[in-house]
Amino acid sequence: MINMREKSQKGSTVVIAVTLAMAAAILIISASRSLLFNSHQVVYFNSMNKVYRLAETGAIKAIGQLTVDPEFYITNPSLVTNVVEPGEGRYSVSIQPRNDIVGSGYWFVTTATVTAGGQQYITRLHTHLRISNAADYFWAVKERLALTSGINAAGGKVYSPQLEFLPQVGGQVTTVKKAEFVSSGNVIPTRLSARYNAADINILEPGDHRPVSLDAEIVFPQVLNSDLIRYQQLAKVGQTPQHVNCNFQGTSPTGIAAVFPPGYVGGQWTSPVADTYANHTNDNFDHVYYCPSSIGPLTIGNVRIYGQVLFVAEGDIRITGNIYSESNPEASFPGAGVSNVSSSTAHQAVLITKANVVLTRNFHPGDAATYLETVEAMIMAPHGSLSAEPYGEYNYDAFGNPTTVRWGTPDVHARLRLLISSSMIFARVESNPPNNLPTVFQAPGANPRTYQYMQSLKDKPPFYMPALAEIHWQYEETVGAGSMF
Amino acid sequence: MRLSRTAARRGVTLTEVVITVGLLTIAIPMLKLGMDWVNSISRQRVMMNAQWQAQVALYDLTRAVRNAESIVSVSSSTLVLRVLQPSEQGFTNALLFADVNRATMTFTFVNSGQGTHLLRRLESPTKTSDSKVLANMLVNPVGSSYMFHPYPPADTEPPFDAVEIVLRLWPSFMKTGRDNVIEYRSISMRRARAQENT
Repeated sequence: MINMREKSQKGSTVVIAVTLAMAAAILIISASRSLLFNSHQVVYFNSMNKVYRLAETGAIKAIGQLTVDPEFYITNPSLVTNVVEPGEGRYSVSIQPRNDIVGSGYWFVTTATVTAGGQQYITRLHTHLRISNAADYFWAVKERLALTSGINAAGGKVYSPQLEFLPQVGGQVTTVKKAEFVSSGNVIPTRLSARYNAADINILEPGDHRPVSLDAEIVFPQVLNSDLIRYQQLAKVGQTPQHVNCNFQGTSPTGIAAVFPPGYVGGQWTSPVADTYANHTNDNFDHVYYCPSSIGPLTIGNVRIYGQVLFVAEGDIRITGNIYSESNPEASFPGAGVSNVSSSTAHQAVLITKANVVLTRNFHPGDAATYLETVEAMIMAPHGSLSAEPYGEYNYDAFGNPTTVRWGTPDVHARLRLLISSSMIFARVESNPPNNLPTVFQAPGANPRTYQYMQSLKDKPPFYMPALAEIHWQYEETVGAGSMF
Repeated sequence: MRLSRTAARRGVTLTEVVITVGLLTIAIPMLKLGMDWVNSISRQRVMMNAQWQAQVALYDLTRAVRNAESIVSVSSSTLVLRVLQPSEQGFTNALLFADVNRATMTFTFVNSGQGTHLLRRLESPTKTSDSKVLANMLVNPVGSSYMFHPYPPADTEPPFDAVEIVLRLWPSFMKTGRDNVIEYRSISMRRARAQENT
């Protein structure tokens, strides 16, 4: 009997133990399921956000590359195919030019994949955008722009809220790739004018060959303090050596001085006047000369540019004479060759300033000969103006204000011609005498001022240029979202 | 003697009483503890489910704003977006931007008297579809407890570029005070801009 009681007690203990164990197991399972649920929840949202960020990163990187090389996705497809971001995931970007959604636009489809906890999270980002590379425009002005006849800009667009094509002179045809104005502004002649034809104002795009009215003003790349800081870094300001220089001048219109990128060490230093810059490095990434306002305006004239050189000034840029870009486009690029990263791919001068650009009265020596002043350079002064200094002396009114100009003898203005091969962005172009271009450059003949688009800026975009990506529309499509359970 | 012995065996000894009371003293609080634990875990699970729904809703709202063509209006309880529906025409079709492919997406806090929910309505030229989320979970969005607000706050006139979205969760089963409201907050900006007119 005693044994029976002991057995019975043993049995109860086992039952109680099993019951307690089961209860504990249920509680533990329940708790662990809750923890697991919570853990899956965290992983799910982390992964969804991660894959979206990765898709945006891929799109932004592709946009950045496209701004400096319009064909990078064709020539280097590996840059947009199965690109692995360590610790993040992988993405691919399909890039197609499209004109039907936004003019001169692109359609990006960025597919990003993140794997977490054995599950795949996939987001597809559809982006319709347009790259407003500054060099796409032959001439863009935030205020009024009057274009003289004979402009040759088949590869570049013109833009101004108030755009005017001046009357045709001597049968010269004005050719532009595209002409844009703002609907709240105006265009002269009006959009439906018969002057828009191949023999007078020849607009190549769009198909109706007429100016395009935009709903809103174009936002151009700006030269802000943050941009100047970036250029200071690119010019190694504050380091040793630093590429700070404000004076690039040859000796005369025939004594042309060579100017090479600051990051170049090599031959061709005497073509025909030596490059006298003392701090050249052998770093191919160095393309920027920086001119702080504490030293003075950037003065440049009677130079020949080899390679891609950016001249960045905090203050005014004063053009004192010819700026030539080396004419041989393929040979002798400064640097270690086109296959090397950041070596020059063209001969281009790029003038960038927060202030104004002035064609000074230093070019013509004052003799009886006629001279052609040539400016082959991209000029970007989105906050400043373009003007010219007259060669004569001013007459003043009773209050000491300049009124008219007393031309020199001989009249230098009647002996000056101008050739601008460029892509230009200004806030304003001086349109009134005596500081406007027609006053200063008025040698006899049909075309004292010739303007043409510098095609190499589009074909071989210079480095470190500001550009804007206008995202017309973007749609995020969730393709794979893993599972919570 | 035998009988008394039997009776004694049939009865409860002091030792047994002490042991039983001791066991009950331990078992009852443990049972209570266990039940509280189970109850707490169940509540946590329901709460997590509610949080999950809120996060899904917030993600949906945030993404809808990002994808919107324009933000038409914003009030404390209503957000109206103009959206395109790529699923209708496909991404390769230029009709993607045709009016027939445009829709209005409205998020509204609804208090029907019998309960509350967030209503998501999509109205296109051809159909209207509704879906309800976060039933009986949201704090009434009035005054400073807004659900939608233009961002930055000083931006009071449309068109808006960004919206602050705040989902304040206070499920009805929670026996806690309003101090325990859980907030899910997001600031989302649309990415589209106006189309040029050629």
